[in-house]
Amino acid sequence: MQEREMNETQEKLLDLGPGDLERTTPQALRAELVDAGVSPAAAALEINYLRQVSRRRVKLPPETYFADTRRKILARVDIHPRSFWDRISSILLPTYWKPIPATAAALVIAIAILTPMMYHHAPTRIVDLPALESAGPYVSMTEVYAEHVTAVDQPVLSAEELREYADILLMSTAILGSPSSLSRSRSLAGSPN
Amino acid sequence: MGRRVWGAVTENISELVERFKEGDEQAFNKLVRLFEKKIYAHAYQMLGNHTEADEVLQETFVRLVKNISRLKSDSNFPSFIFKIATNYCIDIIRKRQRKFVNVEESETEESGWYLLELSRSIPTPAEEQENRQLLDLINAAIAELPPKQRATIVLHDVDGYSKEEIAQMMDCPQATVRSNLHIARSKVKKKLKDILDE
Repeated sequence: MQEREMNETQEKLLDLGPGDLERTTPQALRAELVDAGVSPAAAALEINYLRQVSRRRVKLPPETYFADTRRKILARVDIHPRSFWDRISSILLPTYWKPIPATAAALVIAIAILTPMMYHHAPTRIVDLPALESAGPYVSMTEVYAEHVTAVDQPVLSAEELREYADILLMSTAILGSPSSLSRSRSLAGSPN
Repeated sequence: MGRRVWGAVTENISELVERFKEGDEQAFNKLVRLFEKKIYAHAYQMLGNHTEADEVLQETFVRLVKNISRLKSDSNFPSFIFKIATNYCIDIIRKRQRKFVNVEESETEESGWYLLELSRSIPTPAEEQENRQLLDLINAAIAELPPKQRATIVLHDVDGYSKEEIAQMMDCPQATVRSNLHIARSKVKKKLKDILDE
């Protein structure tokens, strides 16, 4: 109960601002606070504190300083009338993207729109009809294969050459020690062992 | 101060912001004129030296141009621009803490810049001296606060922004603003105990 009262008093004191000092006299303000349940000592301390702290004022530099600063600020910023792209990007782009320049935003949007369109129109642009006609009628791949590839009837290597090749493979397998190489070399050499 | 000061000109600001968003350089120029002193004063309150306040002033408007598309409602422009400035001030304080540089002392003592003063001061030499001592104490107390507490106390107790506006500027719940303000005030009051008890 007592703690709650203390908190309420503290809240009232926290609500005091320099505006209250301008609104009324310190005596009247003190009376208001005491009426609201704040102890006279706490009210006096808070008013005195606020009176002292809020008196702290900045003596501003001369007008020439501000004129010079304005020139510096204007030299550092680029303000131009909003373009069509600025408006579009402000609608389409999320807030955290907005600081990027309008040209970059326009570029992103243009790429996003044009890329699918270009992809869609790609076949009609690439196909060269006269070249297709000059290639003659359609021939399937199987027919082309059958026409140009013939089976090999005769063995490419003689029996002697095969034996020598098997020896070399077995020897290299023995040196390298790979079982997969061994099985491959055996199969190539035609040996069951 | 936020609402009290901006209330009358909010409509005009919204119009300027709208034109600035359309790329009107004149409108941007007017916005710079309207806010430059407030931003400078705020940065100086936070950082305590001219060099960094100048850097914040320039960078705030440069960042404003880059990020204006993020402003959802034109009427929130004052909070938006102060948010940019406050965040940049916090970055500078953090950077300074990492490098162990105390710019405030070196600048005020060596170059003779002393742009902070106590308002309503009576110009008699004795009171001037008293004010200077009090100001030094307040500056030292605020300078010792962590960046977010410093920002909160300056925005609330000096600039006069409401907790709601500060919460918007600092991207945090109002409860965090209250808690930061409470802690910061306690620390500053502890430092100023002797003066406040008088």
